[in-house]
Amino acid sequence: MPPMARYILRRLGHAVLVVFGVSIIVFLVMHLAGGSPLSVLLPPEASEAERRQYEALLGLDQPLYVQYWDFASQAVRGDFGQSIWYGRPAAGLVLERLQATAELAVSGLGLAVLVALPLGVLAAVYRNRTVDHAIGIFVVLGQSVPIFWLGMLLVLQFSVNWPLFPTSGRDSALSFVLPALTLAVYSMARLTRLTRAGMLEVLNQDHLRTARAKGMPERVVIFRHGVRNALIPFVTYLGLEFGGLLGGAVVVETVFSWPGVGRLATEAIFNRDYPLVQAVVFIVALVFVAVNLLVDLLYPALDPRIRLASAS
Amino acid sequence: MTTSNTPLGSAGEPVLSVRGLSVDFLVNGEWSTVVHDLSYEVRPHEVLAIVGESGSGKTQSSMALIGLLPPSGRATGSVKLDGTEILGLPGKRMSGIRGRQVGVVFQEPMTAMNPVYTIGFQICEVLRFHLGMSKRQARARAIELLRLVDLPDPELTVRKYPHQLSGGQLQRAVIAQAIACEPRLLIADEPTTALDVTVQAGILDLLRSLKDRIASSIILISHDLGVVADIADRVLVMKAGRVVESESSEQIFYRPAQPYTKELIAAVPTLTATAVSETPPAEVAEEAAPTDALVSARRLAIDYGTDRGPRFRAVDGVDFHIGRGEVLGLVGESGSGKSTIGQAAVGLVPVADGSLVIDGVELAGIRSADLKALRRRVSIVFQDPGSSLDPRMQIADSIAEPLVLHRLAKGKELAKRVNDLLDQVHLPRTMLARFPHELSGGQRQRVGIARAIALEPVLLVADEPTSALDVSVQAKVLEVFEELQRQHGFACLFISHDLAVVERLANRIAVMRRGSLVEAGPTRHLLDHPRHQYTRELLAAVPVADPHEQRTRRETRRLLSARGTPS
Repeated sequence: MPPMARYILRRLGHAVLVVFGVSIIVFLVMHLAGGSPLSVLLPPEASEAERRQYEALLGLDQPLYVQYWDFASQAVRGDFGQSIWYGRPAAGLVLERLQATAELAVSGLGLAVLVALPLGVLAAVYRNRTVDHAIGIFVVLGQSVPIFWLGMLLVLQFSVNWPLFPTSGRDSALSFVLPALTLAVYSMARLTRLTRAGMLEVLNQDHLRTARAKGMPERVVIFRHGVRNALIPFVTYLGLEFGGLLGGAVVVETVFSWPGVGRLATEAIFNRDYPLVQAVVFIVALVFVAVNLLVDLLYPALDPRIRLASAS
Repeated sequence: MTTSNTPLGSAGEPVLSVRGLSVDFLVNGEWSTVVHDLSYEVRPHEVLAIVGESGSGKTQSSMALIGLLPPSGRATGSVKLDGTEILGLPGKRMSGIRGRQVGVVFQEPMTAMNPVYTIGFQICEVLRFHLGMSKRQARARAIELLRLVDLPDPELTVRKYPHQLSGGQLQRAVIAQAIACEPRLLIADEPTTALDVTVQAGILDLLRSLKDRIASSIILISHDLGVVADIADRVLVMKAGRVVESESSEQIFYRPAQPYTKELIAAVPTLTATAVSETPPAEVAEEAAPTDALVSARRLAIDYGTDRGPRFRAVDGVDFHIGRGEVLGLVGESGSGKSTIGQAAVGLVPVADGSLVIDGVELAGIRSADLKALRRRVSIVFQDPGSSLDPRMQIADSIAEPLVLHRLAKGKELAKRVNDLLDQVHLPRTMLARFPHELSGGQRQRVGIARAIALEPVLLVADEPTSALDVSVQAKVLEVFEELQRQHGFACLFISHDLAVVERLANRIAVMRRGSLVEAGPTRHLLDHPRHQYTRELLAAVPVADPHEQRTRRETRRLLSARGTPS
């Protein structure tokens, strides 16, 4: 088998394993979390017989492994059952909202990368100089400011004081700006720090000195030889950062009334809507695994040492 | 000084003329001078060797020529290349000199090239930038250059990435890159230090031939006087940033004027074997392992690699033995499996097949409790003293650790034992409270040795213990080692790539190549009458600090390789 095919197969295998693990955790956590959905669905005065009837209907009276098997075999077909609260297929509800969250997360990540890469490179090249210190302050602030507070502050300034953007909702391109920015700041700060550290390491590598000794102008040394190498750890990190953004989306969507999966998840948890929570967590985890698989597959394109590891 | 009425670059004119060059570094807000008032010239087709130990300023002074000092450094004085002042040129104009008129080859080929671009791309980059070649022209020239440095299949190599080449091949590619624009001057900074001796010999041959083929002068920076004797026309000896002596190679090696130069030459371990004996040696069968041997390996095999990754057999079917109190020198090139055997002997890697018995204990399939007991009697000294001591532990604690771990001493008794150990490796007791970074490399390695003998081992594994040290420091550490071995009488597996060091210490030598034992025998016998072709090549490739001797050795080597061995 060619090494590339083996590499892809191995990554795919890992992804399948992770999804299997996620399915078990998703299934178990809901059963160990305590608090029966019946207490939400049924009025407190419901009789024991009515409870039993509902338990049987939802399959809650079956042994755990049977419940898992039912859950897993249906999940594979994209069926997470009916949402208890909405009375509609849970998977459908999640997919409807997924697009809104994906738009937010992708634009947030894009924004973060666009700002973080140049800032990080700048900070590394001008290490310990004023530029680096200024960027350092941004990094600390960006990572320490709570997202919800930042969101409210931005709304106050750019929607209330200066009515440039809508306060909430998802109607126009303009309504993207504040939520995406709010979501991006944390990642921006983290990715800036990562880029700086990665670049500092690369700047110390011998081959950069070689590039200078070859007479390459500084711009070629930094970008063609430096950044290109710093991108390798950076891209790995992007996949993980995407997961962070999905988590951050829960908060941002609440602040900006963004109709995404984050808000759906919060609602589902408050309502003890088991099938919906399972569907949200599972599908979001699936997206996360898929994104990281993509990163793994991108990796060989960036690093010939991986691409050709078994060929040499 | 150049006179204006002679044409530039004519035969007698120096290619490079350095006058009053000083290099300073900004340390804690103050300038400290690391190179003082250096002056020298390099003439056409000449190889000038700049020799010195670490910290002598040999590298910094050469980097200063083309503005490659780190940002905290500055250079003053005058550097003229073909009569034109180049010191302190602004970035853009300096770019036109680097790579175009001055090429540089660095020490470590494995890291000198960018891992994410092909060899071809990196060579073409220089050609396109300096000579304005088109993509196709540059590619054709790159292939030509790879052929010039004797790389096999240039058309294929041009498409390869650095990690796909061996160290020696990669250094050839780096040289091809450095000479791409046919520079006036080639600066080679320890170009063979990271390479095996047989590979080193090839690279030196290449450099020697290049200076005529592309009409370039060479500055060779080296700590290795053997290498210098092999190739240099003139030698500049540096110490602590100053010139000690600058003379022709003949003068330096046969009539050194300065005591420091004499010291330096005397400190080089010299191999007394000539390896030119043409008479076929009598077949002396390697004596079978005596029954009372301390260490005995039978068909020993060791695998390398993790449980998950692909494994490969690093050592296969090796037989050897070490008697009590005996020093066995294990020599071979990198990747020959010699270090792996050392690690197996202290139980750091498991025995995959065959048998390895140390002091009556079988290491194949050993249980961890037995291994722990054995480790009380077997210890190891590693190559890099800098990274094998815990940076946050005081010297006293580092030395005491084995005694504490095995609960052999505590309190006053412990302090006394640590003091004794320190005395034995000739370190002052004031060192006890210091941390590793406050010690020199040689001192650190003595601490490593003190720690290794703390438990009075019956076997000491020394894995290249002096190869990271300067020659004069190495000489002292080896002295300490010899003394301790005499006093304590431990047996030793002394692993080294340096035949001269092994010759000095070992009673017997075993030669390894590609995971197998090529031959073994008593030191004198093996060096004087090597049976195996590979051992002879190895012996012939070791450079000695003697230009005449070195010339004859080159001839020998040529004869040996003409006879042909698959390598």
